[in-house]
Amino acid sequence: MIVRLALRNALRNRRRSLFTLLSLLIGVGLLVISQSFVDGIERTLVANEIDSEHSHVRIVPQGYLEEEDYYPIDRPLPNAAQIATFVMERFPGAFALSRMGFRAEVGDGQKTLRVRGMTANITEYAKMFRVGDLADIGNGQRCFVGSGIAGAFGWTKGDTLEIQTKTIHGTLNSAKSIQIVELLRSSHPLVDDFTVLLPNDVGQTLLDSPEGRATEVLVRLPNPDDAEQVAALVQNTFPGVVAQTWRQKTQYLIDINNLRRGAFQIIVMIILLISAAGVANTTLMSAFERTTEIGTMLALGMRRGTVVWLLVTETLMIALVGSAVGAGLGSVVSGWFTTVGIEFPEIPVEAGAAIPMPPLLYFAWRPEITIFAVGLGVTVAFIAALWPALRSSRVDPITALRGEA
Amino acid sequence: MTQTTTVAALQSAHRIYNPGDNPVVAMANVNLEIRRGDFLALAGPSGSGKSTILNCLGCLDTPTQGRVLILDKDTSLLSKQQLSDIRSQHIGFIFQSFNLIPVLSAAENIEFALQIRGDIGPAETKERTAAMLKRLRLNNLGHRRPSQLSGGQQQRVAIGRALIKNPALVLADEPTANLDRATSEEIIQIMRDMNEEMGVTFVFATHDHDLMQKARRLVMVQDGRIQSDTTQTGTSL
Ligand SMILES: Nc1ncnc2c1ncn2[C@@H]1O[C@H](COP(=O)(O)OP(=O)(O)O)[C@@H](O)[C@H]1O
Ligand SMILES: [Mg+2]
Repeated sequence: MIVRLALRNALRNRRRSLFTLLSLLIGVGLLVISQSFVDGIERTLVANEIDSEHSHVRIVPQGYLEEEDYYPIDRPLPNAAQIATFVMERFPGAFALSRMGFRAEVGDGQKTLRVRGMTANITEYAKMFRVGDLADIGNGQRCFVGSGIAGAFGWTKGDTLEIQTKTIHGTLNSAKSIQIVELLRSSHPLVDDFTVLLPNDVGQTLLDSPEGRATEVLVRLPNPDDAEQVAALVQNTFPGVVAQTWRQKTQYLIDINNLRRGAFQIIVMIILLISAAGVANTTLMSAFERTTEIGTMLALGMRRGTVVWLLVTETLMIALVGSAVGAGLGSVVSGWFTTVGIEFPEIPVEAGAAIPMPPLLYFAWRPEITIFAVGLGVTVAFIAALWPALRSSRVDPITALRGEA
Repeated sequence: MTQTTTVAALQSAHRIYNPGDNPVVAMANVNLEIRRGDFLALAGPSGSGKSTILNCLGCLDTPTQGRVLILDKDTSLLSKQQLSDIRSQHIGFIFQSFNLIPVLSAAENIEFALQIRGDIGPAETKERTAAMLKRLRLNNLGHRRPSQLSGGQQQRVAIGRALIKNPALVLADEPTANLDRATSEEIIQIMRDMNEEMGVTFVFATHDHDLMQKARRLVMVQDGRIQSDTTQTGTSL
């Protein structure tokens, strides 16, 4: 009975109901879209960091992270090979890779550019990272160059470059006519704009470094949630090393993204507050116009609580439809961009400080977002309707009934 | 027989508005027993206190002094919710302005009284409503909204709403004040029929001399006091 009565009352003043409905629709719809968008950014950024640079656990010598800008090679990672084997044995499905980063300069004979050199087993590198097509390992004096560096020199694959660095003994060494096998493309600025990857045979010669020497071991795990466990175990087992998990590494990305999330949430909150004010006003107005009717129902013996419930139900019906449609539309939009992605304007790369942002951004819509948004919309409407309903139900039936001639 | 024939009573009831600075005595020392089967008119000029007496009998108002008994039960210590339940259980109301719920059809308005009580199942509700509509000669108008009904038809629906729950007492405050003479007579006639055929107890307020004559018991009110309480024999319609 209450439901039928509430439904008819909700349809009574259609324009007012429509306003309430639309404001909640917009608020809830935007909530779903912005939440999916921001989650998408976070997921994309974290995935990009893991897939192009950091993997799940990165193991380096103690003190290395503090000097990382210089890529020191004089203090290598102790027991790099043992660490890699240890992790792969203890965690089935885990994959570990050793590599050595170093400071270098590349040039074309006219100008030079400071870069991060990197030596590694290319087959293993291709297995661990998604930084372009590394299928062709090549042979001879060869390298893989970040697409940003290549762009700065106008290089394409097949071109040659010069590289200069210090060996592990601190003496200068250089190599000319190193051929570019492939460009590195990852949308991670450190990779694209600063990295020259050398196969181990080329790198070891250049650095005068023995086989097996490495500055870092990277671990990719079948279950990323094992990262903390791996890190702790490695640090306890091998003294003098530090293991950094992907969560620690990407915390700054998440922090920055949380600022963005906060900004969106404030906007959505403002819209929902406007909706709430509209809901409160609608409830109050519709009850005020029906003072006599409410007085009649009270006189006939309807309990005050039932009257409150009736008024709240009227608003909740409108709110439920508005929230559901808004969340539905928001979910369709978000779901679409979760599947096909959206072209994102490239953020200009301020050297070193830029957030790696891929050009195609995928939203991260989840059903929970929709459910939460509908719940929030209905809750906001409920709270906004409650006070006016309580107030309007407090009429004295005698006064209300006398109120009309 | 231990069962009383008194369905409601006012005992030494006073109702004073604005006590203190500028008091208005709307009801002064009223003693009134409503007996089962009464067809009682509260008569008196405007402002004499008729509505105040009805409101107190209907548990919408409480006397500032004195007691209200409904079916022998003293209501003075009851909570608002308990008073509300007494209204929904035992008292039928007919208002001057009909006061039907505009979004409900005639039939639904009648059902509404039972739904407020909540103790009658849907099947019986439908059955009783259909019978009531028929009795009120509204059986073809059950689906209409109040706005699609004439004043007299609306008041007939209101009578149905008041009677559907078989109340101990039906209170009608100037039920014909918004109706023309012919319709007024028709409404009073229906009430009288219901009283005679079903034994429904009616108390109605009026300041219309013609209508007063239709009552079997006539209580004259003046300045909040009962002036006379007479049983009219030979009243006919
Ligand atoms: N809420 C109120 N506040 C003050 N005075 C009131 C109020 N209600 C009724 N009265 C006064 O009480 C008296 C009786 O009113 P009422 O019972 O409505 O008379 P009737 O129904 O016979 O016209 C009148 O003088 C009226 O002005
Ligand atoms: Mg009156």
